[in-house]
Amino acid sequence: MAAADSCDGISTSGGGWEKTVTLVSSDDARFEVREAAASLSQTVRRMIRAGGDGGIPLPKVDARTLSTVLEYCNKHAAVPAPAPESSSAEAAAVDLEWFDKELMHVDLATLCSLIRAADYLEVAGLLDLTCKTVADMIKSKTAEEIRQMFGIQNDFTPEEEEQLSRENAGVFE
Amino acid sequence: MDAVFNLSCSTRPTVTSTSTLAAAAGVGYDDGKDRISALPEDLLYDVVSRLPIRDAVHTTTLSNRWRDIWSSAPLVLFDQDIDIDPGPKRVSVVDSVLVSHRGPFRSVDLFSCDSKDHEPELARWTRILAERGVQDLVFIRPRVTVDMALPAAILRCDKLCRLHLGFWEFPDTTNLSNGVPNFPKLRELKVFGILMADGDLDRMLSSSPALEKLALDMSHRPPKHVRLLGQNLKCVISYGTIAVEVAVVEAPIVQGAPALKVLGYSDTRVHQLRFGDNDKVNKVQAGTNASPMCRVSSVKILAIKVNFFAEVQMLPSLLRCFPRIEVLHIESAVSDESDEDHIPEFYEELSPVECVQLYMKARWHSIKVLLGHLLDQEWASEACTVLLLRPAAKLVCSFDRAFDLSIEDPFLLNDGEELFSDIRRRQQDAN
Repeated sequence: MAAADSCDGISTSGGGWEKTVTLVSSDDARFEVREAAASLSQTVRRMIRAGGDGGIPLPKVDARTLSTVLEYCNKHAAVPAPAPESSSAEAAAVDLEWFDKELMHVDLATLCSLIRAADYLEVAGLLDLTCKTVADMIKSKTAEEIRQMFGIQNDFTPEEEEQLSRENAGVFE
Repeated sequence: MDAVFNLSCSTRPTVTSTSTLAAAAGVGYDDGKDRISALPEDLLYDVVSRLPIRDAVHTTTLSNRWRDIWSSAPLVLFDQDIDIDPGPKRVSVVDSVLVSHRGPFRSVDLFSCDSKDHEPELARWTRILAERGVQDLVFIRPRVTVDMALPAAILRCDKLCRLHLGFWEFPDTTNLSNGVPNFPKLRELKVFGILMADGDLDRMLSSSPALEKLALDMSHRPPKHVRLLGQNLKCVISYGTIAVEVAVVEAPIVQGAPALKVLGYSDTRVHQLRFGDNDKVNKVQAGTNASPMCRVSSVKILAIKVNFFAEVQMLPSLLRCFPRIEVLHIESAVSDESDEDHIPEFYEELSPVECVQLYMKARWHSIKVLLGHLLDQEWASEACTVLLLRPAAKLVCSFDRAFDLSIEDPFLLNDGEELFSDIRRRQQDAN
């Protein structure tokens, strides 16, 4: 999937006109988005309701992260096809699943930024997707493998470590 | 007829079974910064709650930062995840997990407690489940015999939103030391293979004012009647072949129609629908004219089982109680052998899926009686679909599916051998 346009034109869909809102990232990039897409963020939705001029400031999200979040929102708030065939709902679900998988092809730093942004913006679907991705990475690995993968420092003393592995073994062995 | 229940619990927020793309792509930490551990605790809780229990507990050994994350994150435990054969070992793992986690318990699915040897664990578990405020509990014994009593502590789980019990003897609700059970948040209750004394189910239902969905299979020892109280009930599904009276109590009537949208799976041979409150009960039987009190106009989908040959006379009376049905499932029941002689011929005449009008072509008197009534009485909308199912050898039913009110018709399953699939296929062929 191509990165979302950091557009300032008016979004249209199928020739129709749609209401848009402008979001402003921490580094002052402006994103004009369909209101339907931006409203997947509960935080933005509340700010839209509160009103105001000059765009909605999102001081905790940088432009790069915001553009990925908006890519997600645009896709997930897509207008359904006008003449749905019998299998279209299923096809759309498969398409979304693919889109989500592709979107998670990112490095760890980006993934963490996305988790924080999804949490702050309250985009439930994206928070779900990103946390699930991290959980998937942890699954079925040894402690050392997980530390390696994430760069976690093992700061236990040898005694603590021994006690922990005893406790852990107490549960599972 | 035996109902075969789908025990799968489809809504668990677990990880995917395939390995993740990010992991497969070898995405690691790039600059040595431990960004994951730097995430706020709430987000780490979210991650850990999605892990199978063994991996979740395992995270406590990563570093000091992670040491208390799991035991403080809302617990999600699905004991069939544990890769140990069912038996004492698995029970002891479940026991350690429940004891060592501080709570809250978000979602706990227990299928492991089987033998009477585990009664001490069972007592401890139910007490802990109540203390740690379990919200979503599936507690099912893996064998289909009801010879173990569920400890009364289960009645103190007052944070429950969803409760699914299978194959237990239900605790006595009459002489509780701390009053009546209280489930102010319970929205979904599924009960099957449960031995309950008369009145216990009523007490459960009246203790659950928020209840929206109810599924019952009480074949073991069904109560004489089930009183459906509450304006919030949207879906009621009742199975079982022993007499159950379903009393739809539409009270207080002045507050408008109840929310009940889906009602099934009534067997007219054994269920009786009664309407009204305690003092004034209207029993639906042949020839009953549906008084306004007996009408539940909210019901859009109704599934019933009826013997066309013996009981069709009472069907119009029953159906008139539901004037706004959009989809009606009728499964034909066979009551004796003489009926069975007619069955093949009967169904040869009948295409399984057609709209009401087309059924008029059916030669059989009984079906004409039924449908004649439907048409004459301006019953339901013209768009009403009637789905007819031949006597089924086996009823396969998924409670989860039936409870999903977003599905257009929960009694119609799309895949494979499931309920009414025969009809759906033919419908598609016909189109």
